[in-house]
Amino acid sequence: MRKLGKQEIEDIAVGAALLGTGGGGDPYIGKLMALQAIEEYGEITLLDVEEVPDDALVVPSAMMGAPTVMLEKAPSGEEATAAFENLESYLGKRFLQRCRLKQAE
Amino acid sequence: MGVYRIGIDVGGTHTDAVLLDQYNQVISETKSPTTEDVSVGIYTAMRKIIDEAKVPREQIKYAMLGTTHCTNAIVERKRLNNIAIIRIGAPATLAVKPLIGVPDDLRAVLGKYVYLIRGGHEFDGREIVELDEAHLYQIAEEIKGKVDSIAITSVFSPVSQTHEQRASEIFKEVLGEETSISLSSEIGSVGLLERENATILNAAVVNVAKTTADGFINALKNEGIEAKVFFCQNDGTLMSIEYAVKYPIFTVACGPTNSLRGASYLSELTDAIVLDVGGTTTDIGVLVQSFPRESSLAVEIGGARTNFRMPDLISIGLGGGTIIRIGEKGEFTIGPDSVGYRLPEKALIFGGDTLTTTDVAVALGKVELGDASKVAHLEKDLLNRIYLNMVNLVEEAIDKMKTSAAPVPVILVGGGSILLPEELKGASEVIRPLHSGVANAIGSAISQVSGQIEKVYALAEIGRETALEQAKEIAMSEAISAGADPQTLVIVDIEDVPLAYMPGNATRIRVKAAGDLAQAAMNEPV
Repeated sequence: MRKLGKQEIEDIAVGAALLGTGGGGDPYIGKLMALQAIEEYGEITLLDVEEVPDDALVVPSAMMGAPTVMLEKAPSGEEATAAFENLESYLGKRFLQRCRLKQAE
Repeated sequence: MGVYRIGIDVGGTHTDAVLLDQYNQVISETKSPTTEDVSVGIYTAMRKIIDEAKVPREQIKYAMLGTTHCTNAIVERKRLNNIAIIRIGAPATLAVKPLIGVPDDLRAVLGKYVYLIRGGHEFDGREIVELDEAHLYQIAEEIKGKVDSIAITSVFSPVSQTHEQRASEIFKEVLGEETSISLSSEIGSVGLLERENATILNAAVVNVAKTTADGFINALKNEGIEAKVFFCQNDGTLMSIEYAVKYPIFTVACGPTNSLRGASYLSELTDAIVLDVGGTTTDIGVLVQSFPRESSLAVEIGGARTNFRMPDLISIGLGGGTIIRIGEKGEFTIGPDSVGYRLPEKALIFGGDTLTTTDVAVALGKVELGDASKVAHLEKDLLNRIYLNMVNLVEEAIDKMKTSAAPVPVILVGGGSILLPEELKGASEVIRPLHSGVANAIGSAISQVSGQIEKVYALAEIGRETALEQAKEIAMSEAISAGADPQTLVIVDIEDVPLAYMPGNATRIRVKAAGDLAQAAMNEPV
């Protein structure tokens, strides 16, 4: 297990831009979302594959649509959590860890 | 009767001034130190050029001011307004709040009153949600007496300005007219964060712009000059004082623009690389058809990303006051720090204690300045190596700015340009125009007059081509009535935003035309 802080996010954004070869636009907004999340909730936990139980349910999330619109109408942060909550209740199964962009109740 | 104009460029170190006649010939020029109280420096410079020129004061009809005050205030985080930041767009956009990604020290100064409220529009002009007016009234009461300037940004306001305008009305109703309000739709185009940053910075420098404008007007008044007063903008055109005080952010890059435009005018070249060598840095820009090549990247101002059109520049830490440090084994460093405006007391040739680039050039006989005997003891071999390195820094920068390997003309301007040699790698010729020390003030004086139009056209009726033609014609006639010479008019900016929420294929078209100040206008009594 290790922690990802702000500098790691900056580095990941540069790497993502190169690996993405321009697809999906500039990772700028995504980077800022991650930086804000770290400011509000602390560093991000990164698990090694070895640390993940064999029967764990792991679900990635992504966003699709026109980058031009996202540049103006930035995400609320609720999009992924809403999708996760719905999928959990549909499957009747908890995810290993849910990425929370909202303050814990 | 002659008609004269004054061009002034206030830089961080020097205030330069020129007085031109109606044929743009330099009658007098001066360089004086920039002072803490800006108007003093402007006043000193202006008095000098007027005394020297010996032209009747009533014949000075125009005064153009280019200034870096707003830029410096942002970079130094000083003298900024107490601002409130309002973003209209919740529940969208909450994952990227205002000022995320802006350096911490700037956030600390500007981010004291940040509000995200419900409202904003979709790309097609539909409302995301209804504007939360009750929340706006509540915020207005909360910030009463605490802020003097407000930045308002609404999602997709380039498509629909209604929420920004309503918010502005509410703040004016509660806080009165003296609180200044910056609306993002009047400042930038699509791209929420960049437009919002630009609006925030605009709100933050309103006071600085006002102080500078007042200083300039007072300086003119004290000299008994009743001239039409203009501010220089980033794009090389002029704006009125009233406009400049409202949209000061449009002045932040006028310094480099003026020096590039001035270099083009003085050298009579339209396409070239321009090196502006100051006391601390050298700015390298490119002239394309007499105008600065624009940067294609997002431009940062004081660390905040904006989407302005700015001259494409690189800056290197090499100027007339750059400090040279020599180690025990003959190793050396060039800058990047500089003695700056203290060159006349710090440099060895002036009896100071610091080895600077100017000392190196004098010791090698490249420049005649100060007391050369004060640097005679320095080892020539080492100095030659240092000088070679200085020239290399410049040549590398020239190479970075070129788009092809072919040699291009290089124009040298600025006080520090005496340091550079007659030949540079990559240059087809090296030109040092007359009056090159005050190229930026000349650029300021020859700034263009512009006309702008913004109008919604129904493309279903007339078609896009016809609509654009009509808009261009209106912009051009606006520019002509503002005093532009029809012969030199060009369209400098076109923007069209489709308004999908309106019937008839409606599109908002914005066109800006600019041209030189016409001779006829200059000869008419104002």
